[in-house]
Amino acid sequence: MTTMTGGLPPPAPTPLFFRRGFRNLLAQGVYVGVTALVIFYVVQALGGREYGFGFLNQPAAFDVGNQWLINVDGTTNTRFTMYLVGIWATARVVMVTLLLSTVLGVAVGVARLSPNWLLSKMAMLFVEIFRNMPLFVQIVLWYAIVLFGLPQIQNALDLGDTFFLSNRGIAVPWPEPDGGLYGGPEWLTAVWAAAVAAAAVAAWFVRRRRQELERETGQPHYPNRWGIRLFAGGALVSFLALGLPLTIDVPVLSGTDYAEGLTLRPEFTALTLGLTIYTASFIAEIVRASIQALPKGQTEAANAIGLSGYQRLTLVILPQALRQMIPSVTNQYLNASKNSSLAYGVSYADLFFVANIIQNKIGHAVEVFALIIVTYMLMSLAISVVMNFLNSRLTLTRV
Amino acid sequence: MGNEAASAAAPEIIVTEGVEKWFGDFQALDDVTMSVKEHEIVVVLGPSGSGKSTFIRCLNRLEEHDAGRIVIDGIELNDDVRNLNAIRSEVGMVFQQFNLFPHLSVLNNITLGPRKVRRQPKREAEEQAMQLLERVGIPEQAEKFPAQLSGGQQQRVAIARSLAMQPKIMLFDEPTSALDPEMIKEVLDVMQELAESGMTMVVVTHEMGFARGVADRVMFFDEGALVEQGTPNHFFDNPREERTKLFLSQIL
Repeated sequence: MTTMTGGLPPPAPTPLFFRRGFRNLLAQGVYVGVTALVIFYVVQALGGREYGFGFLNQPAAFDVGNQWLINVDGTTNTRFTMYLVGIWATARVVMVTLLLSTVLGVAVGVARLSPNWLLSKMAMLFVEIFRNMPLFVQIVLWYAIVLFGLPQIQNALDLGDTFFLSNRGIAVPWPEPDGGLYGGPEWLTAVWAAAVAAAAVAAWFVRRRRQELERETGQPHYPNRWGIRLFAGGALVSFLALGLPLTIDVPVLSGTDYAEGLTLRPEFTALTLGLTIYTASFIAEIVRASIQALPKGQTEAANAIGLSGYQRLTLVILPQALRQMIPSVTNQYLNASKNSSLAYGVSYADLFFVANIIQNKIGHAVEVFALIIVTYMLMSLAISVVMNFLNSRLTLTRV
Repeated sequence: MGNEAASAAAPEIIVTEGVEKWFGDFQALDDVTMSVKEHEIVVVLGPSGSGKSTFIRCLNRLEEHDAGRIVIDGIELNDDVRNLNAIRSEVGMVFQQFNLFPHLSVLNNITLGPRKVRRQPKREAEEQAMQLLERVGIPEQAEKFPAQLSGGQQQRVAIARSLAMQPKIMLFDEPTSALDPEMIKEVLDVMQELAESGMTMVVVTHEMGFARGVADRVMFFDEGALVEQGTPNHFFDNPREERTKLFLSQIL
């Protein structure tokens, strides 16, 4: 022992303040202390009042516009029903925005890498203009353009008596439930929808079975062909059997508004347009970056086996780039869905707008905002779950 | 080895005349004039940066040459898109980094070209793909994905993928340079079998054993120019040019 350590003096003790364990403890102590103070303050501020969500079950006493597929009014329906209408309005904007901004974003992102000078510069201009302007400014701008740029309803732009454009909105043809040829009840449409769903399920099973057979026997069983045949056949036959229980309603002008068809109101149009274009400009950059991140050899190998430019893009480049971009695109989807609350700026009755009306009329700010926050969080969670599922599917299985 | 007897009378399938290629101010190819006969095996040697890869990449127009002419099986390589499509289906290429499509199974990697470019029925394309996988010795890997294979197996799949387009000419751009030493032989064996089957091949490689044993002719590139060419025996044992001697003294 003496021979081993005899040369070394005893170690000097580390002062308490310089010990790592003590430092960690100190930091955690400060954190706990500050949190306790904040909670104490919040409880103090909120205390002494009664809380509850009972007010949501009273009649709303206000109306909201921009309803679709539903018809509620403030005299017979509760505040909570109105809030659900707001959620439905938000959901419509978000669904359309996510769909369109993805299509537009991928197109612009691909265009930006095009060897065509004009196309690539136009794509660059699109991205640089729309991602560098505040979203709220864009939405208000689109609203002004739709309201003041389009003619009044009396002079509506008439595109072949099928589409109409005016500052009352954009009217497009839309399928409507119908009793069918035999004048049956309107729920025949729902029966048909169920038949289509059943055909889809059956087609899916048949396709799987034929895939298995093909694998087992090594003989062709055309799974995709039979799946599509069964689905299309089922949908068509049930449609005919039920006596065509769906008609396409073409809009017509009626006084100072449209009748029939589907009317996209200026508020909806401006909000969706602003959100879509803004989000698409970011998605375009993500698409561009993930394509450029692929090894150059992928393009060369695709060229070497003789694929055309379009085949190279759709069969080799995009399937790989899409996987790369899912996490970043999920972020953009979450941004877009929460940015939909800017509906407030153009008085589109989304969930935030409706909740604010309730809060202005009856108070209960704490409950109303808790409700708003929880709703948005659930929406974000739903988008994340779907995108994570997609991500795991795409990264694990064959494309 | 190779097909000397056959190639004496065979027609020329690749002809280049005064080919030049510039990358900015850097001249990558300087007045390259050469020809390759049908069924001939040509190995291209040279120090790195000598333009040998650039040259064979010009032969299927992955690079566009700036001056001179390249004619493959009577097809002029120029900006005529019809010629480009024709050439891509005549000339197969195998890359140093394999460049398999990572999102497709081995089978789909091989059938993609035949199905989408040649419009072959799936069934037929898959049968052909399985035959090719037998030929390169890995039929059991058909359902796997490239990332699950070793480098040597990936390169053999890449060769099968090229062959599936039924090319008349195969170009190899350093096909064994990215491989671990123990996998080089399995790829070279496949290439040798291909050579013996009568394929026209242009091979950029550092494998001197392959050059000596399989090539009908060796070409030596330096600083973008075709410095010397000849039979392997002539090239390795009796080089004329100083630059060739210097190169051989460094590698042998």
